[in-house]
Amino acid sequence: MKPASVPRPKEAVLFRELADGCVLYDPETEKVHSLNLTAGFIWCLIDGARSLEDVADEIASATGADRAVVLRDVLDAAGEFARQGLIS
Amino acid sequence: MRLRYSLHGLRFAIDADDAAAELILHTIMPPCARAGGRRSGKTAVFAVRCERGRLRVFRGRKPLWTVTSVAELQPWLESEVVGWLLHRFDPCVQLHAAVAEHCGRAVIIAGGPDSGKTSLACALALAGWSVMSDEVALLKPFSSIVASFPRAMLVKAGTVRRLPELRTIEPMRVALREGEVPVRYVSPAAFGHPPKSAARVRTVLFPNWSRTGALSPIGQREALERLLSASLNTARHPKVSLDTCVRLVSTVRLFRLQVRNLRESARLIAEALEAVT
Repeated sequence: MKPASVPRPKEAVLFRELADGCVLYDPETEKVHSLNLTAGFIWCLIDGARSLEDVADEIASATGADRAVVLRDVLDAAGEFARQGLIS
Repeated sequence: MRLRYSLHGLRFAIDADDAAAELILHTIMPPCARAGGRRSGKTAVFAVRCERGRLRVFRGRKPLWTVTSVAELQPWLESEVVGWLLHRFDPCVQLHAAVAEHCGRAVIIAGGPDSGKTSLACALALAGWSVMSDEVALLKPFSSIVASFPRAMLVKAGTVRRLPELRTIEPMRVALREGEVPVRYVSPAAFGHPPKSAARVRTVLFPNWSRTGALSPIGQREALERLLSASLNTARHPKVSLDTCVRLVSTVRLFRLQVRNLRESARLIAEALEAVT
């Protein structure tokens, strides 16, 4: 995935928040994906309209974290979501 | 002879015209299987008929299958009856788990095959708990209420070795199964504490056999992942299963239980439940 990519989440995937993170459940593969809070935040911002750069900007401005570090995390997370078939 | 059962309002009966068949049929659901609910609908009837030396099994008038011996009958009929019941309980979230209850508070023991579910259920039963199920936990949707599923407990020889007191509990039947290993079919009520029809879950445990005995908390994410992998009907009802399990892990205490000694584990579980209240 590139910073300018605009990924779209798979429609059927269910997202739920828990006290210690989040989970995604894909009814098609019947797989549960466990996410930490950061990955959960990234997932919520991937909506088929924002680019990964936009996602990183939003997180960096909301948390005050270094944008370059955030962008790297966003690209890693999006790459993993794509490998698992959760976004396209 | 007709054996009648009522489980959470569902009525079913098993007709058998053979004394040996009757002996086997009682191993699926103990005669005590009368748990709660208003009776509704027709009684589903499973029938076993001996025809030309073969045993034919019907549900109502519909022929299901034919076996040549009584030994073959039990696992087929068991899976047919249990499958029918689970299908009828479909709105409930069904977990591959044992459930034990004490003073209206239930503990779910979830794990894969040979993780010690039935052994722990036996240890708790010997310590005064009632066993609501040793194989299937029926969770009411979007709640932490679990309903009983009192089929016969299948107690393996290894469990009896670890808990010799089990020899004093009269089994409904002893049979050879799984490579000629003797197993005991025990009614949950045989321990002297008939199962309640429903109870609120306070704790969920994930056991595994270990060289050290310990009870340690686990996170909601890991628990949810494990519960969903133990679910029997998440694929059919993903939202209901997910939301019910999310509610469960958010409202009860969650532990990993390393089992070295069954009596010690039963004591740890009782202490954990005590700490909840």
